[in-house]
Amino acid sequence: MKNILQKRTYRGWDLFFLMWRVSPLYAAVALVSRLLSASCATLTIYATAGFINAALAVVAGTRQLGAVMLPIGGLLGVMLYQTFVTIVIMRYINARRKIYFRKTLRPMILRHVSSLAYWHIENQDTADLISRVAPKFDTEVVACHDAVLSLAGQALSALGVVVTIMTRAWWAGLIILASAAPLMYIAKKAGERSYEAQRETSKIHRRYAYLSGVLTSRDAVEERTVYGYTDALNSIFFERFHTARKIQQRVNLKNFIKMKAGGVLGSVIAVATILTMLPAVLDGRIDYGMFIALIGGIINLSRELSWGVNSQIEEIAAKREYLRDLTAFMALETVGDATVLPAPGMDFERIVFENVCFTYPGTEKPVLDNVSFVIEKGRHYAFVGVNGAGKTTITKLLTGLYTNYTGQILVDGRSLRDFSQAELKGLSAVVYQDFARYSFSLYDNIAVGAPDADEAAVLEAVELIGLTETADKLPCGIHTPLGKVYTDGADISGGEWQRVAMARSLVNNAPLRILDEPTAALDPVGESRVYSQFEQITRGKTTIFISHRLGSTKLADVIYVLSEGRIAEQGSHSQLMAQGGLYAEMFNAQADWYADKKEREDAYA
Amino acid sequence: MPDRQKAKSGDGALPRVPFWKVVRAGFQINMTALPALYIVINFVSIAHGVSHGVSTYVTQLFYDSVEKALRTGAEARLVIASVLAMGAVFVGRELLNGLHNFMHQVAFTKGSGETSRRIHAKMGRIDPVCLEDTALQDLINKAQEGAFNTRYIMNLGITIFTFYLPYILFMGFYLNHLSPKFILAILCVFVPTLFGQLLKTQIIAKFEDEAAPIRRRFDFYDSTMTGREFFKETRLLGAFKMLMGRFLETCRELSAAEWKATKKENGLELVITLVSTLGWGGIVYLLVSSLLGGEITVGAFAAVFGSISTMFGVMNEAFSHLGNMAKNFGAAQNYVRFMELPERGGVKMAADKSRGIVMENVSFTYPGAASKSIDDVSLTIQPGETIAIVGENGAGKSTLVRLLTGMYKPTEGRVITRGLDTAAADGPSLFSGLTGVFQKYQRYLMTLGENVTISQPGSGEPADKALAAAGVEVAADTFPDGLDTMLSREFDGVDLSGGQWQRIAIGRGLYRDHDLVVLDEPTAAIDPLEESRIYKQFMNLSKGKTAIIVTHRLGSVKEADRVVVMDKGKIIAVAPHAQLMTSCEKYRDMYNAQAKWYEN
Repeated sequence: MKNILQKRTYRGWDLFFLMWRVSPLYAAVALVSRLLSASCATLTIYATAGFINAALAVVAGTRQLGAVMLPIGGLLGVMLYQTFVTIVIMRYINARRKIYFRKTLRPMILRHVSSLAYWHIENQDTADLISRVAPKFDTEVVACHDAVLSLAGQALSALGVVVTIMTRAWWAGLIILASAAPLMYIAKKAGERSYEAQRETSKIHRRYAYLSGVLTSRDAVEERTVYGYTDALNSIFFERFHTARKIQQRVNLKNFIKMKAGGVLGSVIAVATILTMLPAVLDGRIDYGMFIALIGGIINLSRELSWGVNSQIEEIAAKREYLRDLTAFMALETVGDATVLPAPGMDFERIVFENVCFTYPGTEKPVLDNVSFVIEKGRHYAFVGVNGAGKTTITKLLTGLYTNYTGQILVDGRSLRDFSQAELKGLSAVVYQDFARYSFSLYDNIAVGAPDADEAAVLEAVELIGLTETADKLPCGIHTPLGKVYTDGADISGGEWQRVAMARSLVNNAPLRILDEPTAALDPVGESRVYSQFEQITRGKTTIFISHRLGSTKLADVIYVLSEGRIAEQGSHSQLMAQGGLYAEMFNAQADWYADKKEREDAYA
Repeated sequence: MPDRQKAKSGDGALPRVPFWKVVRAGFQINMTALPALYIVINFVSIAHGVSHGVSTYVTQLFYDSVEKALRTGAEARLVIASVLAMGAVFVGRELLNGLHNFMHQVAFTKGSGETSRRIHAKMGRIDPVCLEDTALQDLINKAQEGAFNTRYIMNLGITIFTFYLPYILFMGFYLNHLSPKFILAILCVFVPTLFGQLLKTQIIAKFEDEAAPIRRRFDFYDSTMTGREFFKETRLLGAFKMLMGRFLETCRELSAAEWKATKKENGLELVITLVSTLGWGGIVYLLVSSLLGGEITVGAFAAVFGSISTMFGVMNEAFSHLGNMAKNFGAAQNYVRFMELPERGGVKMAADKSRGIVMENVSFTYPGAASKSIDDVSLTIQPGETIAIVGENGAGKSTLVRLLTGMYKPTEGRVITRGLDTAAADGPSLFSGLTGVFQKYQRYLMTLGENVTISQPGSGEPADKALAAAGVEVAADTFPDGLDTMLSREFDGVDLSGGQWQRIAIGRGLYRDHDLVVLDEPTAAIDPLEESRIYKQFMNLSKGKTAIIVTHRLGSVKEADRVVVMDKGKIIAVAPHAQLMTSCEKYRDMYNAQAKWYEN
């Protein structure tokens, strides 16, 4: 199978050919089955004509009863094909096809998404694009092909009927051909318009759907109850809902009128065609059986041209939109070997940030503005600063999630930009503020921290971080799945989750450990305990610690104070306190709450 | 159906809702949202159903006229008239079809709006404590889907009676009129197809039960590799390989389950197809023999022959609708269950704002919980007093606050807030004069002004005073449209920082008329300067009012008149800070654990 994910513009013909590139076999089966189905309409006309004529001849006594057998056999064949083959057998094949495409294409697209540059995940627009393209890639490739085949099948089937009609009454065939164009045009317009209408109203829909969320969400229950805004908001919701509904309804009405105008026109043309054929029937140029069979064909045809084509075109418009999304999706920036395992045995002596400037893609305000600092092996560093000062951004640069910075980040003199993904992963272990809560077992949640984590290491981390009690109270101990994904999953508290995240970094052997506000969800006692364990937890490692609780930063050898994207101050706790700058101001703001030391000493006395 | 799965695993054990209640609920929605349209639509539906039958009949008339003209050489006028009649019926059928579908769409959308309105209103009346019960929370999430299913069942049920039944009855009479033998043949197809379809529904439902947990895992492993909440960690840890392995394993499991269900379903389909093929053969045989026997005309023969497949198709469709109704019933019950959830209730009373709050021997157990969250607690708060509540995570601080305000009713004992028994008074009476900034303060994706005035609907006061008091500067660079600036980029507005949102939440709290203030401190990370500033705003908010403050930073409680120390659902001490430092060991330990980091 050729790789169908390419950086290129996906065009109309890809609707058809994408599937062929994945599996020529399944595509061919679909094509043949559709061709056969398309020929059924014509076959039915001939068999019906034969059957009726034969039956009439038998009634008239001119032929034996056996004469009806051949046309009946033909009809039965068509019927069996349409039921057994297109329903039963194709269902088996389509079920296998679905499984095959999922198995083949899902991993492919997942691998691709996993390799995207990180900022695409954080950026709302590209994240939306990804969620529009990736989850249905496997089914859409098939659906694109099916949509084209359906339309082509309908056209072929119609052509067969028209040709049959022409052999008997060429003028009737011409009438149909001449009227097919405007009918198709109406159908196409209505189909496209209806697709556009759906897109337009989905925007309005979001406005009132949001209010619905506020009125029912669990998080809003306190404000909703105390402020008592349910009735007021509900009226706004209802009003907006009906505004949107009326807009949609107008579009729908126009569409229905167009569609039905097509349908009525189709019926009129069918009747007109039948009328023009009448003289030929009455003077025997067209036999009775064929006439009746043709009428059936014409009626079906007019119906299909007016509503069948309509929905097919709507479908194709939607699929073309998908291909446009796919083109945009494939144009997103990727990172080479992003899915590799971390390189083992990484080490460093010195990491240097040299005049690093950074602005998030799609924004204008620089987050880091000429930042320079040094991280040396074996020492503890703290980054402090007001919200939005760029602390977390530094960790994102250090771990290679963003590379579009200016200046240099050097690890032992080598630019971080030259590091392979494996090396980047091997360099640091991070406990994020918004760490991942994987809904699998507690054990796996910790073991996922390192590919080579053995059971002893995991159990040691559990013990060290104080999760033993948590593990014991779970129904299957450490192997109990967490969260709601597995049926026997158990919930643990926010504080416990935070410990899990810390244990995850403990099993990791990366030489640089980064803790981004690791204590935010812990209560004072838990927090205090983590600080006390800090030395032990970070034994011998180089650590970068980001926290708002400035008490904890005292544990650092060097504190970097970030302000407005720059390193405003640096030094040890006592140095910075002596400087009396921003750090001292922040520290005192917190320390003030605990200021009356005397009072406490009295209490001990 | 996720719902069935729930019932099976037994953790929900929700009672079964009788079918008539579901139908009644659907009927109520339709009758409120679209009373006139709803009646008209059913007449249109009947006409539409009959028009399909009439089409077959006029086709026969036309075929007969042609045959007669051929046989007797009669003039073409009759034939032309019957073609035109047939055309008129076709056009009529086409128009009825359009009208029916369009009206259905209108009815459906109107019904959706009404459903949402009902669910929102019910949410406003529900006892807030219901939201703490995970089983009920689940039910609330499923109410919308349940309402959809309720209306689906209702509408399908009606359509079967007003569309399919008229068509089938018409065809029945018509065929019976031609020859009673046809009815028998049709019955022979009818019954097995009906059972087959119902059986198929069961197979599908069973598969859904089995597949739901696998699918959940499938989506989960997908999201661990591509979801925003996992992305950076999965990448940095190099967990892709392991997660992909699990994903593929789940994918295989899902495929196996799907294939198994396909085989079963298709086997059944094969039988149904066989039966209908036999039925088709039988009818063709009857047609030929009736024609040979001179019982029916050539036209009737051709017309019936031409409509056999339509007839089978319609029957199959009607039966699969019956199956769908059965399938949707499971989920539909959730709507009725939701609408029957207990409400906060209470009667309207006037509060005496000069009085404080008295809590007498109050215990509280969350629904579905095994142990008490608040255990025999008594507390009196004087008007104008500032009370701080401290304790470890899970000690019961937030629950205590919710009992004090009357949001929750005590399981045992009673709470009298400003002269009102919280178990007897209704929400609006209890909450008038109460304001707060809550731990989960909301970030409404509305305009800046609306974000503030939402705390007192209908007040009409401008928002700027409250915003100014909360320290929000309505400057043109952050809020280009002033108070009308849309917040959040999702609706083409501006993005705010966490600190700014928090100030707006304080503004919201200030905007509401109040004499009692609740401040539940957020644990989320804010920098020390912002933190101190916000705390000062908290204090502004409560100046001269009765105030209850829940806090994690023990250093900040010293300004409170009294501190309530909670541990495992009990109040272990109530006293001013200085006194607690000597008298309460727990408090002292907690305080010192934090304070030691700030010793110089």
